Amino acid sequence: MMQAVPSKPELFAIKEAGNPALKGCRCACGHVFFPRNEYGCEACGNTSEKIENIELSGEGEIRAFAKVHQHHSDELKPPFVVATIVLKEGCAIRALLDVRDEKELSVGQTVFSSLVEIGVDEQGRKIVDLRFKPQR
Amino acid sequence: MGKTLKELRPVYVVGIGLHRYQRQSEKTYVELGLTAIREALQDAKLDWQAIESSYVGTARLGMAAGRAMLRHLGATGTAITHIENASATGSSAFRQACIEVASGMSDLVLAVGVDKPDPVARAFTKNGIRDLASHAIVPFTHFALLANEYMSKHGVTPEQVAQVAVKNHRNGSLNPYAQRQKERTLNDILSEPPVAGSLTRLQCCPVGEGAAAAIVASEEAIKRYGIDPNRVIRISASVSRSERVYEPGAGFDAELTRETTAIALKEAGLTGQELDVVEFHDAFVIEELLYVEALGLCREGHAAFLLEEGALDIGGQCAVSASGGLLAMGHPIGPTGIGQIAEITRQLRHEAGPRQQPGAKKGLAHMVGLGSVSVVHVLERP
Repeated sequence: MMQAVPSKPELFAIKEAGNPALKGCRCACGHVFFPRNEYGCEACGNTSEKIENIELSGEGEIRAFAKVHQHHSDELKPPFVVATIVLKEGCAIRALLDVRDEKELSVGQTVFSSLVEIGVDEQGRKIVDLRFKPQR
Repeated sequence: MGKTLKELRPVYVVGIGLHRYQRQSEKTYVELGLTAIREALQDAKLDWQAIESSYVGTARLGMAAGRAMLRHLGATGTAITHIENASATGSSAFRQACIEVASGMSDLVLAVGVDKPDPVARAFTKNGIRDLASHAIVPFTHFALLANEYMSKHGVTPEQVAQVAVKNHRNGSLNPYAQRQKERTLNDILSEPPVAGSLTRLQCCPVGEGAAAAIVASEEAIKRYGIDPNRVIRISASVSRSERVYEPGAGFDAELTRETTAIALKEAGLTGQELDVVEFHDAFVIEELLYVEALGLCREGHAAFLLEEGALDIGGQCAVSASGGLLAMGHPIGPTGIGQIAEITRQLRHEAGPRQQPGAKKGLAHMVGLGSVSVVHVLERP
């Protein structure tokens, strides 16, 4: 099978086994954050040499979700579902969900990162983007 | 250790003026701004020549809007400074005006906010950091997420949250400067197509054009120009804060509001319970409930019940967004924070007509801006 290409390679990594990992950071001060940046730590101001790149598991709990009915963008057509997710490493993110109906969702529910195909690149490889869904 | 505004020399609002907030029109920003400034000068019974310095709050017009507008009042050669602080732009322009008078550097200073809808580059998107869903989450979606979390946590219904829009449209219907001046029933509000989550169009603020002006003065200027001392309103606190790192997933808008309002109330020597009128950044209905609680008007999860009891109505315990708030008065960005000051000044002078909160003596104005930042002022009738 031809290899899939991540749409935003700086944000997530495709794993051979298991769900995709999110590319985050842990500062020497203990602060865990996503996405990565090389500017400095928001919690303490440490510079990048004191910040370690880590992979976040892609498992978390829904804090809030909403189905979006109106959205003016060529990139993304409504309706779609977004959520605030607190990852088990203790870092809150916002992501798109891969669900047919938001009625499947509830606050506190566990969700996992997953991939959806959003296009094909010039070499015919699948371009995949990150979504979260209730099943691993 | 620095000083609070109240520890410096006293500062008063002596003049307020507005151009109605409205949908984008053919009018230039110059015409909008001049209307508000001339009304403020007339309100204070002052000539433009008396103004020593001007702060121009605008977020959408671009560079160098100020003198191209102010020169038509007579080019007096006085200082002009532009302020941009996202939704809190007008609030920050007003704050700088207060600080300039309180410091003793000037006696009479103008703060004016003016904007027209215009697509503007958002600098924070140029930080070089992409995110998973930032392209999917515009402000109304952010607040739809907060509404979902609040309702789920506190067992509150979408109907209860939408009651904020019923109240604020009712207040806006009494405000000749409001963009939306039509009363709406709960059914009107809920029967519109959904925007995101439980939010419908009338649960989100209109972003149009307009202008708001406030003139602040020292006691010396009030005496020197014979300004009516019975119509001046003291600014007893001015606080500006920005977001910190909170617990993962905590609502930063409410946390930042909690900190900023608490500092402002402490500086003014007041508690939230003593406030008669409050203007919040209610760009989306859920914000009013979150901020009522953050300000300490009731315990967490209880604001919808306070609203149901009528405690937040004009005539209730504390009139919240008597102007109609951002939801009905509108949110043209640059003017908004100064428009709040105009409303509170009118209320504390007891000149708010059909919107008057009986016996109002103390008020608070609150804005949050993208980033996030928050700016809060406390005003008192002397």
